[in-house]
Amino acid sequence: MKTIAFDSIVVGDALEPVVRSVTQETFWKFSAASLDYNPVHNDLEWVKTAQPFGIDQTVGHGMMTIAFMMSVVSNWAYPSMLMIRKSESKLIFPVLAGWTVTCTGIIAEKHLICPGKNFVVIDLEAKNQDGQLLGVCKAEVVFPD
Amino acid sequence: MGKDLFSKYITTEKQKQFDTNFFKDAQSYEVWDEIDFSNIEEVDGEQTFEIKAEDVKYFAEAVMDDNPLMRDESYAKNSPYGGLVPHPVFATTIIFWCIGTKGRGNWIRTPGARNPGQYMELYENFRIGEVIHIKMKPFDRYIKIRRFLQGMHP
Repeated sequence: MKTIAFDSIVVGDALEPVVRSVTQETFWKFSAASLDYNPVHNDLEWVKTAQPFGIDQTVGHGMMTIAFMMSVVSNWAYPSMLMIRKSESKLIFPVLAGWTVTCTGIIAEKHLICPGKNFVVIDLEAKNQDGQLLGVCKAEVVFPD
Repeated sequence: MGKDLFSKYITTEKQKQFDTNFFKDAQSYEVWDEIDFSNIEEVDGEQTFEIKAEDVKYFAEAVMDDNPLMRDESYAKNSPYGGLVPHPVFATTIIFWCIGTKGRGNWIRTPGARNPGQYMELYENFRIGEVIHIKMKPFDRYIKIRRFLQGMHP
C-alpha cells in the first residue's frame, strides 16, 4: 500500500491509462458478471433483425464502458485508501466486439476543504482504437484524514 | 440463448440461480408507458443481495481489472481494508439481482433500452458479508429529439 498526499497532487496530472481489448466473449462474461442478459449484448442472430441501435451487431454493456473508465480511478485510489465518492458518466457510442478501448484520466480539479474532506475531481475519457470518443466521466475522490 | 451459451461463464451461486433467458418473464417487465409517477414512494427490490467474495472477484475479472484488492482475498485481508474491495461499478450486479424480473423498476431490462449514462454516489465501499437491500423510485422520464439515431449508446 502506498500513500498519496493531497498536497502532492497537481491539477493536470495524468493517471495510469487502462486498455481493454474486447470480444464477444467479453460481452458474454460481463452479462454473467452483471446479470444483465439483454440480447442486444449477447444474441448475434437477434440483433441482425431487431437492430435496436440501428446496427446489426451486438454492442457492449454501457456499464462495462463505465467500469473500464472507473478502473482508472480505482487503480489509483484504492491502494492509497482514497474513497471514490461520486461518478457521473455519459455514454456516447457503444463498444463493438474487436475494438480496443483506452481509458484515460486527468486530475481536473483540486478542492481544499479540511482534513478528511479534501477531494479531487478526475476527468475520464474512453476512446476506441481510432480515437473515437465512446464515453466521458467525472469522478470525485476524497482523501482521508 | 440460455444456459448452454453461458454455461462456461457461470460459476457463482447467484449466476447459477439467475435465469439467463432474458425474455422468460418479459410480459411482466414494466414498459415506458407503465412507469407510474403518481406512485413515487420508494419500494424494495424483489430480493436482497448477500455480498460474497466470488461475486466481487468475478466482477473484477469480467472487466479485466487485476487489482489485487478486488481479486486476491489473502492480499486484501492483509491490507488496511481487511478484505476484498469491490470494483466501483459493482453496484450494477446488485441492482440487476435485486430488481429481478417481476419487481418494480424492471424496465431496466427492456430490450433496446439505452443507457445514456449514470450518476453514482458511494457513501462507503461495499464489504463482503453485507446483505444489501435496494429501494427505487421513478425519478424522471424525458424524450429527446434525435435520441434514436444510429450509434446512440444503449
